[in-house]
Amino acid sequence: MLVLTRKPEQSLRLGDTITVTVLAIEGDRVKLGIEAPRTVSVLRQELFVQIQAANAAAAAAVQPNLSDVAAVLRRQAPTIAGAPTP
Amino acid sequence: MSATLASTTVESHADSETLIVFPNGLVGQPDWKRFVLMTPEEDGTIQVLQSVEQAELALMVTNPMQIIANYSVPLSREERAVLQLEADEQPTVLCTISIHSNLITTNLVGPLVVNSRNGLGTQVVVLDSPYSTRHPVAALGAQE
Repeated sequence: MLVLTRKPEQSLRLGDTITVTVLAIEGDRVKLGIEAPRTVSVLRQELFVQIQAANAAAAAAVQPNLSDVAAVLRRQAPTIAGAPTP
Repeated sequence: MSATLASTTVESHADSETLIVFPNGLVGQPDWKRFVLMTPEEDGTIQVLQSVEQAELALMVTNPMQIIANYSVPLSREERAVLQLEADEQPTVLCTISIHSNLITTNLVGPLVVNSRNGLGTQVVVLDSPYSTRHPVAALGAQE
């Protein structure tokens, strides 16, 4: 991991097109501004890891479970209002 | 037609299998790009994205509106451009399925969005989703 220290208002340049700026430091939080092409996704690391793990889990699940999952889904009716996940 | 699916032979009920290409791969899986969408069950309740590059890679996917009737994915202009969607074209949305502790779950935060006309796809991350990457669907082996 490359380690650099920046003060507020200072920036880092990643490649030719990505700039990360320290906008402010507030207590234990650092506010960062990211300028990047819209083709580059910027995600909180935790969310990236969650999606990556969900993709890997989907790949692991297919072999043993396919017909059982199909049978269960066939009996499932969609929820009316789409209750958010508890 | 049949094809080898992750070392199991599966009959596909589609007349032809749709080639789906994710130019940027999936989130955290940049090499997962070229798939065939297979329909192993007659009613299409569940489909399988079978990699055409890695024989052992396949993903169970389902139409999220079978689970959440009003599920929708807002797309940015850039996302629509990646998929080459025309102004009035609506994409196909598929969510991956995985199993955790005998519970069938689906990833409603990272749907796969596909232009069914040209087969281009992208995985969208819904940043303010009220749902989870493991939205519970049903217990595996649940009885009526």
